[in-house]
Amino acid sequence: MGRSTLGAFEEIVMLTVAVLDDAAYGIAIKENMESRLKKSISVGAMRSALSRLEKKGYLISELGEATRVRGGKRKRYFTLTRAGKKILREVMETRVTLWNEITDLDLDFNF
Amino acid sequence: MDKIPNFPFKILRWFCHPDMIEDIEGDLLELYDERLQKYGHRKAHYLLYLDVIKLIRPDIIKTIPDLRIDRTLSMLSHYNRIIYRSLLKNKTYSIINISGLVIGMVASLMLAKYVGFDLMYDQFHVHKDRIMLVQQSQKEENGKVNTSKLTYWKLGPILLERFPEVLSMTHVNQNVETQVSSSGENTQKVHHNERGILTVDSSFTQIFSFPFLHGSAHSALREPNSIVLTESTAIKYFGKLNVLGNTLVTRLPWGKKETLKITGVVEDAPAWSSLQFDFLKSSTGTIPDDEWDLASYSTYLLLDGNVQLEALETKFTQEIKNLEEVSGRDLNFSVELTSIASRELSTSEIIMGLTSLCILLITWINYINLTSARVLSRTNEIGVRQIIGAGKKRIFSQLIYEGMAINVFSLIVSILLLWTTYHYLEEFTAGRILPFWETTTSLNKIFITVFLVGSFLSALYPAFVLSTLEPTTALKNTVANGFSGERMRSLLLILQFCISMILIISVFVISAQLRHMRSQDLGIDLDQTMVIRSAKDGWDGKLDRFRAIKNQIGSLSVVKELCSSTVTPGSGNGQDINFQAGKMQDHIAAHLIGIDAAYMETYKIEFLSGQNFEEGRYNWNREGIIINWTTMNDLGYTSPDQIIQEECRIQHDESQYRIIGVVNDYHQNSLKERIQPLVFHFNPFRGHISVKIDSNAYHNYSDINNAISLIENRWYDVYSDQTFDFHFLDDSFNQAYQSDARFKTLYGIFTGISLFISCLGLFGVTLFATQKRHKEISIRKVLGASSSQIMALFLSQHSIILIISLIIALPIGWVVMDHWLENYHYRIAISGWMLLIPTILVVVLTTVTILINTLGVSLSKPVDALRND
Repeated sequence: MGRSTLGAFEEIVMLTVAVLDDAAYGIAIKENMESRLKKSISVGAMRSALSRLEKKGYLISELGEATRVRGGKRKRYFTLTRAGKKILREVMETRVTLWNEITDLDLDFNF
Repeated sequence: MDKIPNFPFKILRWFCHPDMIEDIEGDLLELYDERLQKYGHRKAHYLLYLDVIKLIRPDIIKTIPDLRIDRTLSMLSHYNRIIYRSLLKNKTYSIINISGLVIGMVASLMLAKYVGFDLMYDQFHVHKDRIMLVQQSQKEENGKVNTSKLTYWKLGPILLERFPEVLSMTHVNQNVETQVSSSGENTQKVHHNERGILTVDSSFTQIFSFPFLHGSAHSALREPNSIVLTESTAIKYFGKLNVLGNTLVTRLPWGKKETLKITGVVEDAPAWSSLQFDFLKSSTGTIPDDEWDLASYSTYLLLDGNVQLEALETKFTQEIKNLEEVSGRDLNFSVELTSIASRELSTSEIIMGLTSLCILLITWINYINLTSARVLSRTNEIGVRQIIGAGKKRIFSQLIYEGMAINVFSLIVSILLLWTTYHYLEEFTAGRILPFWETTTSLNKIFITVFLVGSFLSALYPAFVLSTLEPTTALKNTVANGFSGERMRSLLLILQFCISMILIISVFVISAQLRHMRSQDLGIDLDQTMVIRSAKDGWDGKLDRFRAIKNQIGSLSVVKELCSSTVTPGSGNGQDINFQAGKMQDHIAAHLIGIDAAYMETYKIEFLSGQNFEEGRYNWNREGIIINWTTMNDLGYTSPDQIIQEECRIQHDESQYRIIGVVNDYHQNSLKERIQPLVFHFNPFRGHISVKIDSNAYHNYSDINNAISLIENRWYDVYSDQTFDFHFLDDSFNQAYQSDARFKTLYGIFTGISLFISCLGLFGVTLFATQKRHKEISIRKVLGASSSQIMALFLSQHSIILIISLIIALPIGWVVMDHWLENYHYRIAISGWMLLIPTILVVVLTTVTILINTLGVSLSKPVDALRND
């Protein structure tokens, strides 16, 4: 395809960033995801996904103001880029199309 | 608030991409605070570490060029480039330096491998530490202790029976030359005369670890008349390996015939086994009649693991002393045990080992001299480095790195060189060299350790000198005059020349001793003498056949003289006997040789008194005995005339003998061996035939071959089923000196190498000295000095070094070599020329080396050097 793909974990990270909007920095994203997914996520996993997405051009980041809370360290806020929004939409649309084509809705999904 | 640990963040900062450090640190701190509230100090701490470790991911860590490792790497690659450039900058120097290192390393490793071979001896036996060779040590009346590796037959079985510490024992007895023939129905009959037959007890194959290819180590020699073959012997007789169940027929020299069943095939005994054999014959069922009479058996014990050797020796000795048979026979000896795993190096080997170390030493001295002499050309570089900001530590470590790198490079080249040529070495030393890659001995490890330490130390001195320079002096180049390394270099040069001198002296002494042994009058004429090994013939009419063959060969025109004897010169001393003569009651140990009437005449052995056996006086001959001077001496007589006509006895021989002649001592074997007491009796019935070929009868090589085939034809006329097995005596005597000759050759080569390296070193040092003093020389020339005067100046400076070396080396060389010569019973004295010629050699070589260097400078036009400023 020649186009960057989006992993499932990456997709959730991006969606969380979108949900958190202006407050999307490391720990916030991590905690939000943890509460949704009901499992713990390491800083490493989260941060590497973020920087990977940034490299792919789906996210951009900027450093915020220094606060006293974090030992004077600034937070890095992430926002979706145009390309990021586009790929999220594409992924979603693919899924929707697929869901729509499932005729036999007997699927109860009682896992 | 608890103190936040700093260490995890240190790690993080080391690997983390700089762009991400800040926010990740912030995140981690935030998390830490949160956890601190929730879980407390300990867990928060732990989780922090865990988080940091989990952060080590491809997307977070620095890209390779950013990592600190790489800064070191790039530093190293910079160092490497500098090494490469400085090597290229002065090619003569580099070639001298590296080739010196390579030659030295190759030579010393090679020598170490050769010497180390002995360390591998008998190490392959699984029970090596528990296998003991039993020795009998007897105190003689004159206080001398006589230790023998041969024991009485009964000793071993007694020890096994009475001491639980002895788990197992075996006799090992080398058989006399025996004719062996294969007697399979379908196989072609093969027969050879064999000397490598050991008669051993059935436990032999379990005590020693000679791997069985066929048959079982447990039972192979249990049955009487069984025999075990080695791999190559099986091939030799049957052309295949699995020969179990086949039989071999052996015939002893006196004709006794035995049929032996093959019950096993073992791998050939390796070159590093002290037990060498082709056949192992079972001793089961044979108990000799001389249990306590003749000590002629090797005895090996397998001991329990935890025994005190010395205590055991005392216990054994005490027990044996109390035995009735022993005290009754007035035998008085103590038992000693030697582990087969322990090895003592011979003097030659120690000398060679030291030589190996000395060569390495010379090599590194060379390196130090050359490198520190080049301080000059590096001072600018060092000065610039210091100004840019390199500290002493950094410059020091750079120079150490440089030294090690050059050393390691040389080592790699040496290993490649040696590895590719190793099979030539193995050929040259007849397999007597350690395999290149082996782990049995720790030689390779030792070498690597010595190498690492040595190359570090050799790098240390130049590094130290250069790194302590002051930047300003370094840049101003004033160091040249004030540098005190000169004295150190001179010292090292002296050491180097001492070692070389000592080595050269030893080469001369060794060669002289070898020449002496070869050219010494043996007291016996071996010229053109061919020995035909005896027929193993034990049937009716054997005497007639023996006479016939002697007559047949004797009648050939190419044969000048001919005789027969049970033992021939160069192959041992004959049967061990106890001999007693005249009024002397004590027996002395001697060797019995049976000869015919022509023997003494054929070998031109000189009679001191009395007479030879006479043709035709059979009964008179049979009662006669001829002894040599040593026997007479041992019997306590001082003049040959006194002992003539004395009655004498051989133990276990009922007959009465009378001494009819005394012959002068001659060397029955090589000069390495002391002359033994010999007793000759008349035995014209069997033995090896010695044939003197008439030197007038042939003119070239093919004539000799014709003579041999003539004799061979006659042989087969008489003995159609016996092996025609012959050799020439001068050859077999020369073989005895083979190991010495090899020693000499190797030693000579390595001495040459060390001398070469020393001269390289001197060459390098004078090269830089002359370059450094180019201006001085030019000024001298301007002021009127001639070229020859300038060369004389240089020579006189180095001649002091040379003279000091000579003063130190000459006495040391003399003492060391005198000690070496003590190994030889028939030794030379060190004479002046052996010291003089090496001295001249070294003086000439150094003078030439210095002259080559100074010639260019002293002939050059002063203006060229002076204009440079």
